[in-house]
Amino acid sequence: MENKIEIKNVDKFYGKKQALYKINLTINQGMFGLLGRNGAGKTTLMKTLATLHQKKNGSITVCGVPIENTKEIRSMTGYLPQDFSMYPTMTVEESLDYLGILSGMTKDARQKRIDVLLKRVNLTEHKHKKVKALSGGMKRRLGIAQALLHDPRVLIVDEPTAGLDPEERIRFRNLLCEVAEERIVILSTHIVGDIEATCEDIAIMNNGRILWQGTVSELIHNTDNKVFTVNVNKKYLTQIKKNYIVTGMLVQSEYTTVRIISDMKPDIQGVTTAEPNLEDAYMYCLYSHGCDVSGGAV
Amino acid sequence: MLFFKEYKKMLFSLTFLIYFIAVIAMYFTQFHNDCKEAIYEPLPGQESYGMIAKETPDILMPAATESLVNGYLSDSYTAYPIGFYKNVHLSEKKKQKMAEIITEISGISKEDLDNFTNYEEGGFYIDENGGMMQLESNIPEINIPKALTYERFRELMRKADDIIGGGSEYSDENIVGNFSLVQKTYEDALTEYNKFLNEDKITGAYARLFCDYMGIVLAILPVFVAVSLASLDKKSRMEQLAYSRKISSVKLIFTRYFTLVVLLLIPVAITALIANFKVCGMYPNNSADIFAIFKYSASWLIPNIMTAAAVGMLMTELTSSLLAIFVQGVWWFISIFASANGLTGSIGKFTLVARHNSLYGLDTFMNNFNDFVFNRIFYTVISIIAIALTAFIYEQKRKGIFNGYSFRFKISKHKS
Repeated sequence: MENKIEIKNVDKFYGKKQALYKINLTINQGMFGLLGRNGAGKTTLMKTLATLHQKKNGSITVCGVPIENTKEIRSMTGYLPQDFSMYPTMTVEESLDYLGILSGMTKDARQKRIDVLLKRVNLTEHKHKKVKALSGGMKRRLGIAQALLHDPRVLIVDEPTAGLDPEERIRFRNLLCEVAEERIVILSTHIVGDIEATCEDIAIMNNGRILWQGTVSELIHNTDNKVFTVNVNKKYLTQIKKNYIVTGMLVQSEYTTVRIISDMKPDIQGVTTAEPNLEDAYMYCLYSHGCDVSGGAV
Repeated sequence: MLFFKEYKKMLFSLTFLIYFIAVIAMYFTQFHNDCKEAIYEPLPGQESYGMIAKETPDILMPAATESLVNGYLSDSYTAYPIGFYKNVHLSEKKKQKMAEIITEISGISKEDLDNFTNYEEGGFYIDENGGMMQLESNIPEINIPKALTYERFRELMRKADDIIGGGSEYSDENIVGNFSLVQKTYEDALTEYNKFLNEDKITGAYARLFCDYMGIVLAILPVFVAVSLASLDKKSRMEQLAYSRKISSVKLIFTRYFTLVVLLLIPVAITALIANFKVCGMYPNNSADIFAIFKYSASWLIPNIMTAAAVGMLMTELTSSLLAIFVQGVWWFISIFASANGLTGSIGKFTLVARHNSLYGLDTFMNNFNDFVFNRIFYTVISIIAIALTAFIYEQKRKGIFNGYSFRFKISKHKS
């Protein structure tokens, strides 16, 4: 069976409001990042792939299985929603056992898998702890464990690092990379750093449309010779923000080091070309597709 | 396996604990309290053996006629047309028809009725000793024509009932019980006692009383536990994790429902067991049917639990709100009032709360037995249909096709 997800011309409506416009994507094994602003349509697409939403038009196949075959799709998909928890009075182990039953796993399979997963997400010591007593990071790790419980071929994680402290975030990203060695992992986020640290293949979404799809290096390459830095007096900052996309500012007494994106080399004294990073490339992608990035940049 | 998981999940919930205490409290304050003294065999020569409704024309005809004249003079008739109390006032046209009936059964002309100015309603007063005494109402003199046959009288009573709108004291169902109460004879009392002993095997009679009391609370309280269960996934922010699993909606919802019904039966089984010991202990020298209370409880009370639980699950899935409690509350209220005009053997085909608030009246119960069976099967089937509908709605929500109707009393998400 082919190990890829194919999305062709998918439209999705909430009543009369269109949420997804002609989505075309091919997602292969490994980590795939879906990057976009809040409200870009990422969660809608994730839920559609997890069979929790119905598309209006187009086709989706997951490892060769049409999305309409919900039972089979659910048996091969693990889903970690953005906003989730579990029964607060159940222990970590009981919660996983309960969800394992809902996934149709046998008692033996559940016991073995729960032990392995708790070890993998570093929750073995906390398996008798009630869910309500877990920290945010622990809950996220428990979330990953439940999504991997039935050993799915596809793992869908929606904004998994929101609200985590830097240490937990790094640990969580590493965990995702580990599990992506054996399956398709789709990571949806608005945090560029998460994508940069984990994904090679990405897509950028905005207003329900895919703006760009390719590898991280291709996206960054698109921004070659379009990123500049310059030290300017504070009094010129307003003018610079007005004329260019500003992706960074480092304030140093009277002067500020400003990172600028521009198609042409800015006509500012002392400006130098800089190495683009993914954040620059993402901002440039939005800008080049006509999105208003002035608010986000400053 | 899912059954045990669901069972454990619900068993330790606060809502179930409250339900458990309420059912046990209902048992001890009502049924247990009523079982202080055993029923003994009547002895010849007792001062009274109590009253019994027995069709006796000589008693029924004057009593019903007097009541009808009273109703006409005060233009006030009591009726329960759809089970609810209603004070009926007649139009001029209907008054004319009623007067014709009264004239035929009492010999009082319409003119005499309309010109009677000395009318005083009956009522009650407190005597010197603090006792409640009945006041005689003041009505024209009644002379039932000798030529009036009992059959014709009953026919006229049916017409009077029609004029009032049905469900009155003069209907075929109510007239004997309202106007033909006679003192039980020793033979009546002995026959009744023998039925209690031999046909009801003692516990059968107590089982009906037990079910009468418990049926009242079991037609309303399960809805609270059902709403709590049905909203637990949403409150715990667990909905999407459950939605995305492989299990079918039908299996999940039916297992949850079955678990819920079994769980709700726990205090019923406990109280039934206590009742059994209590009743058998009251009659140590008689052979009682030790299974009667359980048999009655299963057929009488399970449909109540199933219905209230099904309403709770269906409405909560449909609206994601507490609306089910309101809906079941209204239905329960209507049902209680619908049976208020007869607490013994009041088992209509569609009454949710079946009543039989007496240790006697086996004959009445058996006369209504077919209705009782129909009623209980009807509610069992309705409950299963409601749960099938719940599973369908759950599946639609799972696929994002339907998100539930919006109501103000939303269930808040659990905050941890």
